[in-house]
Amino acid sequence: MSNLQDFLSPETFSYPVNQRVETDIIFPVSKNQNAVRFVFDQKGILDSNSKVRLKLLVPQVAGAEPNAYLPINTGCSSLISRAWLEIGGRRVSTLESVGGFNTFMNLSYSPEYSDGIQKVLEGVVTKIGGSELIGGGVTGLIGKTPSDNIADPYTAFIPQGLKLKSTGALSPEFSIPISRLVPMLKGLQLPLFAINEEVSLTIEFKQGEARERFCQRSGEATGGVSTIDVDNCILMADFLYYPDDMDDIAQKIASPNGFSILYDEVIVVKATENAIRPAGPAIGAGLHLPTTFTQQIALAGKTLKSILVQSFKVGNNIEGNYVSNDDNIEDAYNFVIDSRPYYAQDVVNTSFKYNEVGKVLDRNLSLNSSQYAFINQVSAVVGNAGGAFAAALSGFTDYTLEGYTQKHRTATQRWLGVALSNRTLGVGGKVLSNLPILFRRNRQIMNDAVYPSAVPDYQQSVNLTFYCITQNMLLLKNGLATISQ
Amino acid sequence: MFNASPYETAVLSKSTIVPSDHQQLYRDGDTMRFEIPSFMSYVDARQTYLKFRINIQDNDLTNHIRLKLDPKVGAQGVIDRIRIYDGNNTIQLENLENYAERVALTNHYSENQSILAKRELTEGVETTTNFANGQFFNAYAPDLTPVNTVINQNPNSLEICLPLHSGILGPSNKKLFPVELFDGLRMEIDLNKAGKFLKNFSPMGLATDVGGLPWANSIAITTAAPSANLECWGTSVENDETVTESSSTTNMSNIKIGDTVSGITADGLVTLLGTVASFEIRPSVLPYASPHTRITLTAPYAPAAAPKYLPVWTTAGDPLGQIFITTSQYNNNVPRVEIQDVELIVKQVVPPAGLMKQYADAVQTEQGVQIDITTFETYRNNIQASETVSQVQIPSYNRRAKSVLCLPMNNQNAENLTTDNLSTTLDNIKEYQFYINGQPQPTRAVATDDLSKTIPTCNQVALWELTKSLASSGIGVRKLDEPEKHFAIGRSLAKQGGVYNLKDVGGLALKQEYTGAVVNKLLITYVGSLRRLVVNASGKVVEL
Amino acid sequence: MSNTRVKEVIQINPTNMGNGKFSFKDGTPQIEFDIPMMPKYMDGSSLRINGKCNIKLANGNRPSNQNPANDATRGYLDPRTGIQSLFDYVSIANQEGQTYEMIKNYNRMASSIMAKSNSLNSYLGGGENVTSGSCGKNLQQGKQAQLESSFSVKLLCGFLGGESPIDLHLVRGLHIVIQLSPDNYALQTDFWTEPTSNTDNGMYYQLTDLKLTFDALIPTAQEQNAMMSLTQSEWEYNSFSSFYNVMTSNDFTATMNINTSKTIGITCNMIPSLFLNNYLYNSQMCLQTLKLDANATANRLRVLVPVKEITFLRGGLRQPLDFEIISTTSQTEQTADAQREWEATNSIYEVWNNAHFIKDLRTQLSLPRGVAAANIARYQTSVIGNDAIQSYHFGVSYDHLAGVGQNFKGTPLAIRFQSDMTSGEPHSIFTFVKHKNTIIFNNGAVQIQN
Repeated sequence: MSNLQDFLSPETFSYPVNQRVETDIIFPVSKNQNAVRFVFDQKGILDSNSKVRLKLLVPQVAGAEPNAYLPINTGCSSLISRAWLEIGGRRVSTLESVGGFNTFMNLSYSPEYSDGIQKVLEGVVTKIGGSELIGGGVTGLIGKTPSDNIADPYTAFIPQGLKLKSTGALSPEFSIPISRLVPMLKGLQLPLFAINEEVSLTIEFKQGEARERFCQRSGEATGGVSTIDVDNCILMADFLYYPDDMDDIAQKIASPNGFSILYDEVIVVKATENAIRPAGPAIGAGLHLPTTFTQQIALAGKTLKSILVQSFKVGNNIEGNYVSNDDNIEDAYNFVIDSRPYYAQDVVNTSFKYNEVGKVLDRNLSLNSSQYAFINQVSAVVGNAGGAFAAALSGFTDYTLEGYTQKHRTATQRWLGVALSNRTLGVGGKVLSNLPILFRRNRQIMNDAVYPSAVPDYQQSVNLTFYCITQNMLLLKNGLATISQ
Repeated sequence: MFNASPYETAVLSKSTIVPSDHQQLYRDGDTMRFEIPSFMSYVDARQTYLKFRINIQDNDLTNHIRLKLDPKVGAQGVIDRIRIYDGNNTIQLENLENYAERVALTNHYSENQSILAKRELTEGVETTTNFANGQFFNAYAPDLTPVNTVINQNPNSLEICLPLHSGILGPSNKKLFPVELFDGLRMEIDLNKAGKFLKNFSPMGLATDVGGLPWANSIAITTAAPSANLECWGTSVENDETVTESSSTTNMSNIKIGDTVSGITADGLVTLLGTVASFEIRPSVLPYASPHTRITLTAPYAPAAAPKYLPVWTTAGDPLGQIFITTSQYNNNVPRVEIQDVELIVKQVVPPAGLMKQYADAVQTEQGVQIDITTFETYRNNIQASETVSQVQIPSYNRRAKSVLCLPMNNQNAENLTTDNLSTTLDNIKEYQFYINGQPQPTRAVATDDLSKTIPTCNQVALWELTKSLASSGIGVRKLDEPEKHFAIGRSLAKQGGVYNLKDVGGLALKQEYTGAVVNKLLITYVGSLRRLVVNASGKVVEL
Repeated sequence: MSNTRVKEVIQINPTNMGNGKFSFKDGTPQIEFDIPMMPKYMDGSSLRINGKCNIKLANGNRPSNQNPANDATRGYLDPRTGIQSLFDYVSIANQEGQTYEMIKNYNRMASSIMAKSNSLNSYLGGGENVTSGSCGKNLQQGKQAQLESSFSVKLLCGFLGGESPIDLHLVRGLHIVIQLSPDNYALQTDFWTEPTSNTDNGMYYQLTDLKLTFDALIPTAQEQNAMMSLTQSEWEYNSFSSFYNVMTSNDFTATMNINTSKTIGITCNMIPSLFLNNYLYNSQMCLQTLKLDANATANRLRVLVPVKEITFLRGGLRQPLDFEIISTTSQTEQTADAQREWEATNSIYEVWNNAHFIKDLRTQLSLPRGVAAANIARYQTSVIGNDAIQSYHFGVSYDHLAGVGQNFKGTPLAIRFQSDMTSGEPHSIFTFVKHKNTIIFNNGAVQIQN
């Protein structure tokens, strides 16, 4: 028999193993507008590529079907607030802020994968092409290419097949793998037949409307509260069986040492960088003020693999509130771990930041520089002056997407991160002491409106979300599951 | 790219030409034969491909045939069946049927922009709808100066390098194939008739019904009769994609010299105008505001009865004053396709001495040398339009089955230049379900009705099942766009490289339910499996 | 994986920092980084050269590339290689002067590698323009050149590209030298596609805020002791050696003593010699043989000269292809050059697996067959199109099986190139040989076998 690990990982076998696949369509044992809960049968090995099917219904507007769509980088993850896996009533893995974390995940897929696969499955619409300014005269921009709309050729639309409607018959359905809801299941096929306790998956839905669950075309009023079509929310689950090997697998799991699985757990920590002058006075016109912010991230005793940082100032009606806004001028940041700065010199260079956040998943984000940061889109910085952004400097076209200028997407996906693990070097992470990690950021606060709002930067708070990827261990022994960190 | 191989010993290889059985011309419908001799020892199938030149016969200056290979498959559409035998022709190792249909489907789901580009460059896939960019002729050559330039129609031949979707001689075979153990290989490739894979660029100028007023596809003209000259523009935005000297010729792409053109005259009637003698590209010289094409008729248009004047063309979408030919006339003359300079480029390998000895020793034993190839068995069932519920048996007894892929094809399509013979049909299918070992799989019927809506949306369960099936068949899925236009029913029997024993359970069945089916269908089922080729002391055996 | 080992990110400033600005114009075309010999492991694939890039006209102003009506002030980098086009020569040696790897014509090599591993989507929306400053499209590249941009590029070299960590103590530290490309090589105007375009013959680029960064492993004390006492080891990686030839006739054979014992593949690109180091043209383009297009506006090398046959020879024998790659009919009729494209794509990547590259039918067929207005190319409008400039490559693979390759020690490599060229216009051919290198460390002595 192969190594037990071969049967419990989604990798391809090195030789043809006899296998049987049973596909169950599982309805939730409880369902309402707040959450659904699925219970797995204790059979077979659960394939981590099993999926949850979701559908959102958006009410009509004045008797007409709405032009509502999912936030383009987030897709159907915007419908989910958090999800967790329970074994024997104990939560073994939780993902908070599913929408935010999966936005980052979606941005890490190649444009081809995103356009060919993610768009159809999860409603993610990220692909961009070359563009220009309406009326011509200015070239070299980017954005979603316009639809074939003779009446107004400068408009792009979300494909009709992805638009959210008022009834189940009209609104499209989406699916998301359970491994994207429960990070523990990424890279793990769960041997349900060897677990004597109940295994369940709970999904809590996102509440809130505008820019949270969905966005709506410019100028269109909302027709009421949207609803999750819980009656058609199902789990499409594959259970794997190995006719020649099931007994051996069971024996190995039931051995005195049991079977342990390392998995990633995402801990979400939130913080705020308060506005430095919420009530004024203004910073001088055309000037900026250097300001340092420090946040604490308490993860005592955990094995930390990486940290992902999302900085939210203002959302937009294309990406919703699933954005991570950049400052006009490059900020400088560092992490202080166990009282020592992680970087000898603060991280400033935008491209270096981009590479560093790519190490969180071992692959770079698929973004254009105009999406990632303001660099190359602001006036020159001289001393404490300059760095102003004007829409004309944006790399995005002013062609509209669902009626909103695509310039609103300027520098809205500036994710930061640090990876303490490295596969080549054989480093799995760092075991943290009791000292909290400090995230220190030196920013240049501008006298400039936080685009596309009218709020000046010095009156704008920044909501930080830290997604801390830690390593846990699940031990299966005698049919019971135990978690250790 | 920069990672060094852990091996120390080089494996020498070279690409060699294996000629076809006769080095003369093949035409569509013929059979090509190849023999890979046993002295070629071992073959790297990933770097083996079929090379040839293809051109359209009769495509000379007088006929002006503007066609392309089916954009879903390119030159892969030329192939109908592939059979591979051992060198002595005694045992059939692989048999692939309905090859083009399968490739048409898998090409769509396996491509991204770069892979499509690769197929454009090597497999003759042409996605353009602007015939001026078509490669079978040189319509792009002429220019506006001097005026009255005749459209140059020099016929071209297209160079093709075709990887074969075969488990033995295709990229899915990732191991060296020991040709010498089988005393060589013989391959036969049956070619499709041209009507199956040759297509027109756009429907412009074609009308399905002369008796009606099919102006949606017709071409605007502006000429007062009696006149032998018809000045023509396109009316479709699709065909005016670039305002160049060649743009208006797009609209003539389906009208050939010798065709009889009809028009809709001022009184709203369909009238035969005359026979096409020649084409010219005309510049934007007054009174014509833009470049366009002039058709010259063999005789002036002069109606016998009271003159019926062809009105001046306007942009208001008025259907009057437009010309076309009938689709039946167009399809009357499906040209032949010529394939020449056919070569099988084989990557011949000299493996390490140890491997050769290992094989030589193993062949003498009862267990022998076992080689697994991923291949497809094909089954066909007819489903009548009147069948609301149909259940077909798929009598596959593969012991190492991996996947099932079912393609419902329109059985009523003639093979001609305007019909799509390689696409599947939805035909208002409502749901389906497989029965494996008496159990329904999935546990609930898979809904497919959303694909038939006015604005199609995805049925996620159906899409998931199809994705798994393709992945289990070894097809890398890169695109799931437009599943309603590339519909297939899939079921993965085993995942992650595993296999399922269908023989023990006596095959499987597929139940489908339709709501208002209108066409008779041919259900082509491909069962993907590992076929084991064994060479042992008893000889050569093929285990299904 | 271990949780007791610790990873750190090392940031190093250039050794020859000076005023922090590096440019060919200012006489600071060489950038040097020193990584000291220390008992740490380096993840070579994580090494990045980070910095900022500014492009200026002779008068110090920024170029203006976004206004189609304004031809006078254009200047930008090659959209398919970006910052990689600024590196002419890269060498990696140890602190004691022993050279591990040296790549000449690094920028032309990047032309081949990046075009075969990046699709247009990779450039525009896949992160290439954030890291290597390459946008894939001329217009978007022009827009980027108008303001300061940042970059964080990986060096395309085998010594750093492997999957095994590098023992910085064993290799005795590293000394990395990057020689910058001349300004008139790196920067271009639109003259080739829009002959009315004026040219600023003094425009230049400037790199600032340079830093070299990489991930390093801080071993345990016990591991450090083991590293300090390790004196013998071997290191294998794939590398590229470059060779340069100039073709002036219609039957040209480039014979090269590449002298590599494990030759895995060769990839070649070509450009009219006139285009090199010339502001009027993009010196990074990979084109086929061309002749003058004598139209009314300006004489330019823009008309394709059909290539007839390419033959690869090893010691006079046709290897690894037992035939010539014949393009006569495809080139004359201007149709897809299928076999050359197949073999060229297969030369350094696996053609059956490759799913990201820039070329397509438009790029291949984008050049006119005759002088303009008399003989239009299929897809010829793409010549002034944003992203369809020809991407012409040729080459072969010697070993996709074991990855060890053919032995060319004492055996010359020859490439015979037959075309319809009669003008004698010189064309520069850059050949890059991918081969396996072995570095043997033995008690302080370093030996490199290739």
